[in-house]
Parts: sequence; C-alpha cells; structure tokens
Amino acid sequence: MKHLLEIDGVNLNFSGRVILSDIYLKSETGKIVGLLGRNGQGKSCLMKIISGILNSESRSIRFDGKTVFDLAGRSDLILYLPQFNFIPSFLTLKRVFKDFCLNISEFETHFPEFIEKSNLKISEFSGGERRMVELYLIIKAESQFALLDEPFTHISPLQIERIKKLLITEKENKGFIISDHMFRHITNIADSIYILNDGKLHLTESSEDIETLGYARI
Amino acid sequence: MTRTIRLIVTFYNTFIIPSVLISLLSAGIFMKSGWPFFVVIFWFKLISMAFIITFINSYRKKEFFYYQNLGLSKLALWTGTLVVDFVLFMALLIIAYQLR
Repeated sequence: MKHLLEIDGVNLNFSGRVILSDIYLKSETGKIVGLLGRNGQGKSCLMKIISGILNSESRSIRFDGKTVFDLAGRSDLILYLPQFNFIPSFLTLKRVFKDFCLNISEFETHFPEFIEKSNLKISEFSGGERRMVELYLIIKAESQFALLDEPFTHISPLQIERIKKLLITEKENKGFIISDHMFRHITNIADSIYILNDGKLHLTESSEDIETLGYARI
Repeated sequence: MTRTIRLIVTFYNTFIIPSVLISLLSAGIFMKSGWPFFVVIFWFKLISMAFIITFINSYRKKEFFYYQNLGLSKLALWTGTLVVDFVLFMALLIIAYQLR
C-alpha cells in the first residue's frame, strides 16, 4: 500500500536566528528523498521536527492527507535514525532483533560478518558495526516512513554499497528521507533531492542545482 | 503488550538499584518511626526520584531514541516505570508497617 507524507509550513528560530522558514517537503512509498545542505543549515533539526522530537513555531505534518499532531512514539508511521548510536549497549544483538520483530537470520544472510554474534552485547561491537545494525533495523522495521540522518558515516565503502541495495529493495515498502554529506551516494539512489539553503528548502531539478545552491562542486 | 512490558522492565533496570535502595531505606525508617515520619519519607522518595529522572534524562538521553523507534515515547516510558516504582515503594511501606 502506498503512503504519502507531507511536511508543510515548518518555521524554526533559535534566539532570533531563522533556521527553517516555511518548509515544504513531500515523501511517498517507493521513493527515496535526499536532503542536502551545508553544516548548520538545519537538516537534523528538520528531521527531528518531522519525527516529533523537536518542537517548532509552526508545522503541519500529514500522513495520507491526515494531520498528525503528536508523533512521539508513533513508530507505525515514522522511524528515525539519529546521527549517533542509540541502542542501549547492555542489550544483546538477539534481543534487539526480537524487540524490532525482525528475523536475525535474514540479517546474517545480508551481512555474514555478524554470523554467530547474536549473543554478543551491543557494547562489544565496533562503532561501525553498531551503525550497521541500527541502519538495518530502521530500514527493515515495519513503518510507513524512515528518516536517516547521516546513515553512511562510519561505514566502509563496501558496506555502503550493500546498504544502498537494501534501501532500493526496501523502498517498495517504505518512503525514505536521507541526509548525508557523502552526497554522491545520495544522488545515486534518490528519486528527488532537496537542498536546504539559508532556511529555505529547494527541490533540485538537475545536478547543476547542487552547485548553484552552494552545496558542492559537481 | 508483552513487548511494551519487556521494554519498560528494560528501562527500569537502568535505575532499579538506586531506586530500590531508596525505597528500602524509606521502608526501614518507616518501620522504626511510624506515621509521624510518613510525610518526610514520602518527600525523600519524591526528591530522590527527581534526581534519578534528571540523571537518566541527561546521561542516557540517546537511548530514548531506541524506545521511541519501538513505539514508546519518553513520556510513556517514564509513566510506566514510575508507576511500577511507586507501587513497589508503597508495597515496601505496607510490609514495613505490618512488621512493626
């Protein structure tokens, strides 16, 4: 089933400084949306507002045309991968997969380096391995949409390619909004790219826009 | 429902030792002093819990994203665990009173 997420009229100010101004963003099942922008432009803030963690002066978040006022704990609608490791370190890998109702064998098929590690605690994995686990959980767990904030950071190039394949497969079930400074990975897989610049969100029409809007040299 | 209970228990485990120790200490004082000290004990438990909540909210704030991604908001998580903790506290006080 297809779902539509629309974020509209988002305004955010910090101490009088405009961070986000009248933002509109759309995501739908089967599509990957890339969100780019220089440091400090408010990408993470926008993701936190969408996921219900951060309040803003104004916003309208609609799922299939219906406004949802409180998204805290609505994992059926949206999942959020923050920039940092978030799984409690005392839990075992097996327990984490049980919590997310996911099959650990399928994970081991995708990522064989985790075979026979299901009884290890999360604290026993490296930062990159933890990131892989978190990414897999957010990509695969049941929800209509997922927000991924810097998913490729700390992950090796070969693993990134596997994650990208997984994202392309899983977008059939979910809409993704991804933000990362490794923007070439984003442009490879995204169906549309937005750029945040000076508080405004711009939908790019060509790769030249990435340069025109002052994000990167192509 | 089973998953929600399991998650609340997991979260409660992060501060169960100081919380139960405070409850046991409160029960001990209540057993010796009786009703005249009830209000003092109650406020002692309340203030110590406020410290624990502040500590967990600061030092374990990243873990809230785990529970949020599993459908438990920060508010729901604290409500669930504090209800369990308060029931345990009251049960210990009742046991202490009966042992007097």
